Amino acid sequence: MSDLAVSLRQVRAEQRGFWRNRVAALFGFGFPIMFLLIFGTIFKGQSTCVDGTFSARGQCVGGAEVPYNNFFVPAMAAWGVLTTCFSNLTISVVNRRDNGLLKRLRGTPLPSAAFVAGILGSALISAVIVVALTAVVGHLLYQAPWPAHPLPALVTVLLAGVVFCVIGLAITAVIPNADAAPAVVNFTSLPILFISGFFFNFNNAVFGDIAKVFPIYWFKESMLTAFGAKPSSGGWNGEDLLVLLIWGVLGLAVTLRFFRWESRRV
Amino acid sequence: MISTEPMPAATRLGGEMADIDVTGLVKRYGDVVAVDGLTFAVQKGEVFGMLGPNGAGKTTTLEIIEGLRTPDAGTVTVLGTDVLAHPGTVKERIGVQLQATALPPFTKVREAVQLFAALYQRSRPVEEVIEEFNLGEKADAYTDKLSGGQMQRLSIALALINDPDLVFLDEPTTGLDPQARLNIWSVIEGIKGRGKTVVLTTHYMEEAERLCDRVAVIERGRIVALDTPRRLISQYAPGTTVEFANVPGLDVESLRKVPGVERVVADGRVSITTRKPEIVLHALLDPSAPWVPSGGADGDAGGEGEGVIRDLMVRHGTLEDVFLRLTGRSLRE
Repeated sequence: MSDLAVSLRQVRAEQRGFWRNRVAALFGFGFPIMFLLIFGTIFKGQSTCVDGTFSARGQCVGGAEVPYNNFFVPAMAAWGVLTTCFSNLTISVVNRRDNGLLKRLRGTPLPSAAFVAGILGSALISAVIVVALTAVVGHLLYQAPWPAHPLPALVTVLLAGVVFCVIGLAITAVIPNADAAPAVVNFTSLPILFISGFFFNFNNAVFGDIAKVFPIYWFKESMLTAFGAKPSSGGWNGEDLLVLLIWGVLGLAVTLRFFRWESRRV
Repeated sequence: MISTEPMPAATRLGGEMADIDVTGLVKRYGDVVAVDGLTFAVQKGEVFGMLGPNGAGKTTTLEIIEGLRTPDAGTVTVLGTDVLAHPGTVKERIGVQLQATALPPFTKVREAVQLFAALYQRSRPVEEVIEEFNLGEKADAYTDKLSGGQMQRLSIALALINDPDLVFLDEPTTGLDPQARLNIWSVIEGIKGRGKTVVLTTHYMEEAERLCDRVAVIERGRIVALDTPRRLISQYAPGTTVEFANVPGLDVESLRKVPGVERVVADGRVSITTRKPEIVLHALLDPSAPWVPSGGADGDAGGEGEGVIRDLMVRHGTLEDVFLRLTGRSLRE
């Protein structure tokens, strides 16, 4: 078999495992959709000031005023990409490292690249599905518009998907064992999600500046742009994608240097 | 098979190239020397056992040979190929069963076999392998629903999916119940019957004795003895052991004076080591012998037809005795 065929086979097997593992599938899909239903219902009909703040007289200053759900749908779609690519992948890789499966595969001719391609390809498929599902639910229930710029949206999702997969592989190096994986994953993503303004737009200079260090913020910005919640020329914002790319390169460097195929010897 | 690999610098024994040739292997983990200068060769078609307690360095050695670890020193040639230089070539032709049986999550038995079959250039038909390992009934079951023995059969089936010339089995029966262990033993004998070379680690001496053509006794990363089980026993645990239940009043000292007796250990059982079992047995059966408790062999307690000697057992030495003799400790310590 060619390397490509082997990789595709791995993707298929990974997808099969993902959908059979209901907890993981729910974690990837359930949370963003659930929050979309809760917040989408609560704030339906209200508006938000993307990248700006409402003045005392209720005017959106420094940003764009859009219906809340026009902002919230792309934000939850971004969260979905994060859970399928970062959270699920990290937890699943650490599990397999701990139970010896990664080492077992190293004993076969399967190239490391084909193995990584398998988990990455599968995560990307799940990511595209969760984004599509979020957009459909948002459109049908909350009258959110379809993504204004489909191509930039797809490019953003795929690029961010790869970047967060690679960061996930990198972070496995500091996760001591499978029990610790969910804690590390949530601790490194949920706080940043909040300060990056995934749920509410807020105005706090300190948190705002901290958020801008991390790729999650830029991914959200890129999604808002591509979905049309932010004004742009054609749905592209090079700065967002560049920051994502830089984080991807960092993640790759850490992965290549520190990734472990088996748990530490006890 | 035509190999395009460079000719290896393997040792030739009897004109034939060994399947595995290990020279001066060293592996350290920090200050701990796990493998301390191992040199040995495994010949084609033999079942080679590595016997030693946990932490002796068996698994580390195996994983270096399989191309999973890099040694700190030494050379390893497997099937004529330098493993350290061409691990991919070697992995195509060997079968590996690791100590911890790890399978992809949420996978059925047939799917697992298909998945592993797809990893090799050449592999055996999936259904044939499933049948051969008696997994037909479980082919559509999730792998986490298998019993310990079934899981181990699957694990070995996966190691053989590429029809390898050389198979590594790392503690294949550890944790299995006796029935499942016997089953795995016959599986391994089947592998041997097809002319494959097998390297197995174990800390069960019965397993090594039954399955292995040659056994390397490993202790603290070194080979302390290497030979056939029979020769190891005749060298390090020679003679016969005659055992019977201890009796109150037995005179151990006079028993030690019986011709042919080399050693007597008496606690719950009396254990006599000898190289002349017929003389010792003859002496034991003499009711007027001086070591018999007062009252004679037909004493009041014994009753008609019952002697002093009960639960008599005559056995030869075992690898357990060999290990004890070589290292001063038991295999399962």
